[in-house]
Amino acid sequence: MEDKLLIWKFNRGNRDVLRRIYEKYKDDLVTLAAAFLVDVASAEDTVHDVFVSFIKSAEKFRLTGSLKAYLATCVANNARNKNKAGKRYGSIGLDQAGPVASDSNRPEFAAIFGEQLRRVTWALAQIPYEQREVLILHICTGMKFKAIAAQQSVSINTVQGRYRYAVDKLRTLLNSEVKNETGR
Amino acid sequence: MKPADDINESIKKLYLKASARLDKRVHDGISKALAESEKTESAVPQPNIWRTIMKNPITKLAAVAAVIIVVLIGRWPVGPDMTTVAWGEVAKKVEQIKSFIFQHQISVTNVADGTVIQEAETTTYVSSEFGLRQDAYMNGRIIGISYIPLIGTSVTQVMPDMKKYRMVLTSEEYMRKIHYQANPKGMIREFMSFEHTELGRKIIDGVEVEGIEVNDPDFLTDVFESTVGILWVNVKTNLPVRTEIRGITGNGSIETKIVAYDFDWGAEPAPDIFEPNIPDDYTLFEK
Repeated sequence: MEDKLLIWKFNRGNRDVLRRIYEKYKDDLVTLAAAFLVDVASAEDTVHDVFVSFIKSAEKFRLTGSLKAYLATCVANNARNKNKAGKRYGSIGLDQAGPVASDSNRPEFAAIFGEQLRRVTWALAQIPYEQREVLILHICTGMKFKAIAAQQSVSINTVQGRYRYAVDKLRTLLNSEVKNETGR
Repeated sequence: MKPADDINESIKKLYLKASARLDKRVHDGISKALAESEKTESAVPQPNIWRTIMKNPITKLAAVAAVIIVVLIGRWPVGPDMTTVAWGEVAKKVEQIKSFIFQHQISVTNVADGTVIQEAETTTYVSSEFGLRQDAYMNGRIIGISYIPLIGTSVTQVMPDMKKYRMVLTSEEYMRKIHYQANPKGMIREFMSFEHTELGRKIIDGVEVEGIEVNDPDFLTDVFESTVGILWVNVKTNLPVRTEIRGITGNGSIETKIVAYDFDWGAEPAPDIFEPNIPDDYTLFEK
């Protein structure tokens, strides 16, 4: 169902349409939250909290952009709060759980992508949260640096700096791991 | 390809599937929130659609279609029934009509120098089966379309000039009043709930009509500081031909004149006219 129609129904008082919104975006949002928090259980808690607060704030909800971008922003805010509060629930780490690549079901790609993504998620976990958030928001949701700056209440230069640091750090981590593995 | 050269692509390929446990938690959470929302809904004061719409100068005109409806919502018939037999027939007649179309002319004038501040026209489609739609025009251009459904509590407004749309959430009670008052039955009762002066007969657009005038300090007092209302009815059909409302605001400095005319009591608007039509490139309007 088209987002505009979902929102239209929601604003007309059809709260049950929230279930359709959840079903449509649940995997994307869990993935996003997991990339922020590098923690599967916390990611699921985040998505749960976002949807519950979504319906509770229904009266005040006025969408100005896309539904997906709105939800992604909610997930980012919630994940940031969880990170600040240090709310970790003794859960399984993303790198431990093993990410699922979109092509990983294909036998010829499974071995390559499975291992490559495991390394990426491990590397993501090593970089500071603020940098990781910028990187994930920019790459996964396509959010512009200007919008991220507004969301994080920092300057656009700071955001661009965080992005560059994140990419450089990831490159360094991934290259070092490759060297370690090939050197073994 | 080195992994470090492929960071973006690798991150984009990250994909997790929501667990069945999360599915259950979210659906349970939605059910719980829905139940709580329904419990508290009746206790929460509903937004005043009139104030919400009229607060913003842009939406004020875009929503000018709602003027007559909301103007009449300010008052609910409470006074003694002053109807004569003829006026009683008018009410009965309009109650039997399922759908019709009529026009409004709305002008806002500076009383001191007669300068016209704003002018607009509307076309209103009324259906007892599908709801209500009002198209507002300024200078011949359509500036706003308001959809007021029979079911639900959300009024949808589309603003073609701005390529925007918005929904205003009201309450069931409020919607019931809108539909009641939008019908000339409600308009007539509103007029008849006050003492009125008979204006006699005259010809409007070739039709012989009989009129009454209401000039009561409490008439539409929730909207205007003072108001004069005139209702003209076709003496042969007993159906309204024209209503005129002149309201004063701004400590006597502003006059708003709202004229309803061109009633087509035999019209049967197509059902899809009442379904909100929001083009894909329109975005939500945020005040």
